[in-house]
Amino acid sequence: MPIDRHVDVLVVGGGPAGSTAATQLAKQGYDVLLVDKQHHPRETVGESLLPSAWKYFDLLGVTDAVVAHGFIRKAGGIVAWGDQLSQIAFRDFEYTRPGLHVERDALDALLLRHAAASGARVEEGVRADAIMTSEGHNEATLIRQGETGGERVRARLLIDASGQASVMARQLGTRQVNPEYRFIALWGYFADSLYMASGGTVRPFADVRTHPPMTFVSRLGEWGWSWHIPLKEMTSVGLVIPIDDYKRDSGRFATLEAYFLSVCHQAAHLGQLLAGATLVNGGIRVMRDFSYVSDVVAGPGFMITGDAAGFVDPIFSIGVVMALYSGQLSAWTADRLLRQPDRAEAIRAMFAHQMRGRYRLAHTMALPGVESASSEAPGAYFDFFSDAEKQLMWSAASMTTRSANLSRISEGQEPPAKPRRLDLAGIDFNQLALAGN
Amino acid sequence: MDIVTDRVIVWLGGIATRPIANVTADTDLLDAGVLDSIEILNLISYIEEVFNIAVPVDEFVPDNFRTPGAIAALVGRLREPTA
Repeated sequence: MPIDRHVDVLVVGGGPAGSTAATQLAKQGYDVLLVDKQHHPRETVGESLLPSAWKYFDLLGVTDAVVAHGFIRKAGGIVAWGDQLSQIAFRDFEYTRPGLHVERDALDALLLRHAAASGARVEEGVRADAIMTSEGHNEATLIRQGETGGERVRARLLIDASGQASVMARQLGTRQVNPEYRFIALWGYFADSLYMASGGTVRPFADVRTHPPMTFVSRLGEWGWSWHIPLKEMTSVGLVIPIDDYKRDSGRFATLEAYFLSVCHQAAHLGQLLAGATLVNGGIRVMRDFSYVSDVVAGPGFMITGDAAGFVDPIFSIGVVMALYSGQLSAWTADRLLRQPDRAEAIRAMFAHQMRGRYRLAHTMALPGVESASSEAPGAYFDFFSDAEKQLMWSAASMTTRSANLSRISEGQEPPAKPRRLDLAGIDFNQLALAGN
Repeated sequence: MDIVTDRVIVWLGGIATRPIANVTADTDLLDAGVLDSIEILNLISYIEEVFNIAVPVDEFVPDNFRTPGAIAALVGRLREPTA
């Protein structure tokens, strides 16, 4: 097939990982083409951001734009796990800036527009098909929505940032769904939900800008959990449930929505927050088998980054930060590969090492009871983090029963004498009574 | 203090995200968060270029980057013997 276009780097996917990689490479003067099969803004999940996201916003040069957008600032998280109700606050971990609750359609569009403004060519509603990779000349056919034929593009390097679609890993047959942790996620959006602010104080939704919310997580059964994330106009509420539990329980309900609402209303504290709330914005979203990893994250001519390389469980809100980090890592690696093609193998090995280290750490931290086959690898990786970051990981893990793995890999480390979390006696409705008067 | 340690410390003084005062050869850069996950990549690019070395993946371990002295020792090991 004749080649219609030549570019330095073809980025497949315009989420945070793809936009980050495209922005940084375009800024360095590379000819970057980013294609996304959808048109932005488009809806997606993963709305809770840790304060470490700001570091990446600074590097991209989007901090002012993110601030100007006015996303909801959050102060930390509250977790109800069995009998334990506890809180962590970001300010206790040397963070000077807040976490955020973001509408992902808005954040992702902002990052993608910034990639275009930085010099990357962005084409939406375009799918990359018939991908062939090899050192130095990768090819793909770009097919516009509604068209059958496409143009053939050749790139010196291909970065797969296609998210859960995981285009390259599926093509290579390297995408492995974790057989032990098969979850289904169901989520929807509520108007007029109450929310939890610092100290477990329950507040009406109208206070969300004046009294920063906490991300609220509640345990469901043995391994499941729920999220409650107040956004600007409504509250995102989701359930993460083992598929077996879902199959056992959902059949008793006439609709998926009825099942979803029933679980929400019965969950510890969540039910109280949602008592007067209404499900809005088009019903229930569903995703399943999102816990997977690709055995291969780089090869001659290509890299797989962000969620396309692997995803664990969203419980600790690390997804977007992982995407931003791996986008940045991809750009760093791509620049080295393009400048030093004779060292390609060693440079790719470095990329794969970092991607695997991050993934294993997330896996070990977030998935309960994982007997990590190679505890040494995530343990060694853990040691790259600062004291404050380790404290945050330890403290967050200590709020759930998912901390045993982290203790094991961090052997030889000095775990905090006491995790920096605040144990709460219960949730406090006093503010609500006051507000209601 | 050797010249490599010195260059590393000067470089560290110029990184924007978390500059700290009074860095010595023994300052723990990882615990303090000076060398975070991004700056460590920039440091690798810097030492590879300035000292004409290639950092192999099996040397990418925390202990090789913990202090300016450890970084200088890594550079020393990887440097091609000068004729």
